[in-house]
Amino acid sequence: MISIFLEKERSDMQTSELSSSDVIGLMQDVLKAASPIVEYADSLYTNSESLNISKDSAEEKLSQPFSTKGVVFRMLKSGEWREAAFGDLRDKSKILTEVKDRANFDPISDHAVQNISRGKPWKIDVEKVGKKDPRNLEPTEKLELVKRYFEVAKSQDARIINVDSNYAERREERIFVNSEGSELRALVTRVHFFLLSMAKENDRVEYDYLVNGMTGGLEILDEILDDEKAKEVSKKAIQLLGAGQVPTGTFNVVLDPQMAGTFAHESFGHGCEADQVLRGRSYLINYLNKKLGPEEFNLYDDGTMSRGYGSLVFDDEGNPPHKTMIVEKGVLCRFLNDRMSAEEMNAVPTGNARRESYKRTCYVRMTNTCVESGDYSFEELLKETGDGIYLERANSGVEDPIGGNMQLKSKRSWRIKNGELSEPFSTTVLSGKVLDFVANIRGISGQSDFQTQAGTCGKGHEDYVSVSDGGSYLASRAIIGQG
Amino acid sequence: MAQVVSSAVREEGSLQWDIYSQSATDTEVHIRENAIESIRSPIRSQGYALRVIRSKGDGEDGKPICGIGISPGNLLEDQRDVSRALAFALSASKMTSAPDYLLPSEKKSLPSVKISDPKITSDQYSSARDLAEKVVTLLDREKDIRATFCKVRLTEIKTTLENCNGLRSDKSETFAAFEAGLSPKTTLAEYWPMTLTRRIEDLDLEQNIPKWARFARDSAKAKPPKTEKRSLILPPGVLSEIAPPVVGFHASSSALKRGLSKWQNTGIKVWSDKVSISDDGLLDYGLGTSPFDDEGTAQQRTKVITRGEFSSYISNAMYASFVSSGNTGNGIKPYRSGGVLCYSRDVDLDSTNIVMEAGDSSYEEMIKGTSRGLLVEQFSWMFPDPITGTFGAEIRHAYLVENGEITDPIKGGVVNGSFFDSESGTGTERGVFNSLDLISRERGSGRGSLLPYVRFPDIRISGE
Repeated sequence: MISIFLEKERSDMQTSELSSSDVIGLMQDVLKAASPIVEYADSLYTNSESLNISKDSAEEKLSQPFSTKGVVFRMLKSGEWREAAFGDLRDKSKILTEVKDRANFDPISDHAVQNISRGKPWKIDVEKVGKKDPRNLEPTEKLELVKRYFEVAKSQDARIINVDSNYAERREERIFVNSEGSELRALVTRVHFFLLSMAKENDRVEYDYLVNGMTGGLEILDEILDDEKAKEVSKKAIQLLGAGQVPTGTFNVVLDPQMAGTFAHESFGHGCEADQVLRGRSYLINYLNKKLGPEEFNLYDDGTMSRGYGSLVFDDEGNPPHKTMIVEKGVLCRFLNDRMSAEEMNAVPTGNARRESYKRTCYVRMTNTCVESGDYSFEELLKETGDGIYLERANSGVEDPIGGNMQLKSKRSWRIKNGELSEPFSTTVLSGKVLDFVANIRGISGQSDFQTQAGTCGKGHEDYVSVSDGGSYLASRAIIGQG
Repeated sequence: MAQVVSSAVREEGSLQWDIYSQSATDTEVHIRENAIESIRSPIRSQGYALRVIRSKGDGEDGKPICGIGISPGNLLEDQRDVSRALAFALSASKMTSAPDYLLPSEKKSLPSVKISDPKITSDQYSSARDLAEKVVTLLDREKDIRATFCKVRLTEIKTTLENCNGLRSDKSETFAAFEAGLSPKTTLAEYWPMTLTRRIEDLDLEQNIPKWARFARDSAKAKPPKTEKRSLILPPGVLSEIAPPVVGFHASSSALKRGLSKWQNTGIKVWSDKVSISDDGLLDYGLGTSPFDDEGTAQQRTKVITRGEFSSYISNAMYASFVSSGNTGNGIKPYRSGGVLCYSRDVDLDSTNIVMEAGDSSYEEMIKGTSRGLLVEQFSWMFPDPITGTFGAEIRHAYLVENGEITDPIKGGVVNGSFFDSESGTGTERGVFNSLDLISRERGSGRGSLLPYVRFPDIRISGE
């Protein structure tokens, strides 16, 4: 048993009713009452606080859009789960009664897997607020920062008609207790900046943006944004006013590091979630230990990544996070597991069980998912491509876990002609089969190009968690359409 | 608590305030391989947001401005929690800047609307169990189909809004959600439906599960499209992903104020005279329906496009003074229509339920009259760009239409277009609501909209 639990006062994250210690006491008491009735039980408390500060041409806003706190209890019997969740923790006896009522059930269905992978109990209590805790800077100073980047981007050109400058910080406390004796608490801060410039000429409006975030404190802002980057956003928006429509069809393509990251997460990663694999809902189900792509194609999920937006202290089943190599030298070598799927696959949990909050279900989720760098330069990849399309500034992506198709959108793209970039195009969609795309990888650029980007990811159409993805420039072949 | 807030705010001078509080109860049942695998109930949550509006005189453009502070909390009954929220809101209102406006005054007669299902409010747990068992029964009938995952969720949300002008309004609303992966038992293929309604009966699972099972079977045979132009036929549910965000954005007074709306005046021709669109905040069981918007203004029906002519902006209280149509009850918090709590969000300006008038062609006639078309039943993730009006997405499930017959299933490739005319190397490309040639008599709902089937000619499809 690891024990680094700190018996210090936690006055800064008290709920309106209970301190963190009181919450742990409540969770333990309820689990103690429920545990004898079931085979396994755990409980997760989540407390999210946020601050958003934004400015555009019409409004300056200061708000706290994410604010939720509560606790969920989860109980297992013969492979079937029951859960109950509460946002109001004042009435302990009511919570006890309702949880015991739910725990006292007969499974409705027969389940092939009756149990979950069991772990050793451990304890931890950490607070990761970065070198510069966001709380130590007054909101007025953060607003000044937001205003400054607004002005820098807006003043670039008279055609910039609006700029959306947006700072966000999130402070998240999670407490996990289970019937095995684990007692875990973590307080993590995440900082995020979004800058969008809108350009208008005649009747045409185009825009470009910069967005990123990391786990940590205000020191992150220095990496995300500076004046030159803010000016570049406006310049790119102006450039798009003259962009044409991308040619359609199948092309050799080069993805920028953001697009490569979006590919790693959306197109490839979702098929590696073991719950999907076990449900027969992954296009990768028959490809374990098979070669999918070239030797230099390596892909991993890393919940321990320093300052990764999706990094964790523990997952929402109480497992420590891991760096998991999913693809090594082009070979699919393992999937991401929670406790249930690990039991079924005779594997070990990889620290990927996550809930959006106490209100939502726990699933296998990615953390920070990246394509490893190769040894090409960007220029070499363009030359090797000859004629094709270069996609940059990831806009979105969506998974097709069973079909293995892909949809990635970039805010802009360029024609590659004779190994060089020529004219720009506006929003571009990349599509095709993931396995074809992987098999056609022609090269990945070096570590100096590696970038990560922050985002949120849903399981299906809801259940959003903080994630990041990353990569370097990547060359392959895909279907291209206008976005 | 309103009295506590009122007296505290009074000490700061003449400020406006409102309190938006919500509580929710959910029951969610998960099904795998046509058997129940977990039940989550009750899921109880609650919270509130306290908002303060501080008038600040005239801004640089000579128009009155204000500062707004909004702060959420967990328990409205907890005075310490409210005091903390109030302190933040007061402080934030000193720092920020936005067009000044007045909150609605004491409750007038609010419209009567249908937004609640008694089956969800009376015994949610039993209703959810019954619904899940019905899903299992319907899935069992599809012998060659399995649910790789499936969940049903019933939600009841209670909302109370009160403000400094004596307004106090309440509502109770319900949501029923269904999402599943339906796969042929012998093939790696699926159809992945997700639907959200106000009532359990509107999920219409007796009709939909057999239809979705057929799509799942067909998905196993689906092939990518060729790169070519075809007529694009969109059912109401698919059109609801594309049209409402674009209409809502360009019809909003906030986009006009920011210089981003394509529609700089009312009375101008913007689309084909076949197109008439309303924003209907009172649509029976619409996801965007409510007796009052999130600032307390009565919701209403607003004609936005009349026979292709832009007829009215939609507005919330903040931007009402910029348009002659005034406040149309469109002050809406993000995600309000999604069956989740939205109390902590700031009020925005959005459409409620987008309703498009029916045409004179039947759906059957539309198919029969199409020589080379593509009927798209589902895109991977079709979210248009509201600012530019362009859209493009991968085809998740579609059918070719050849000489008036629905033929081969299609998956993969990309469909794209734009709602507005654009210049390209080959000349002007017409926006889809300018070029559309057929609108069906039948209409269906999806995502809080009521829309017909439409046919757009010569749409670019990227494929093999």
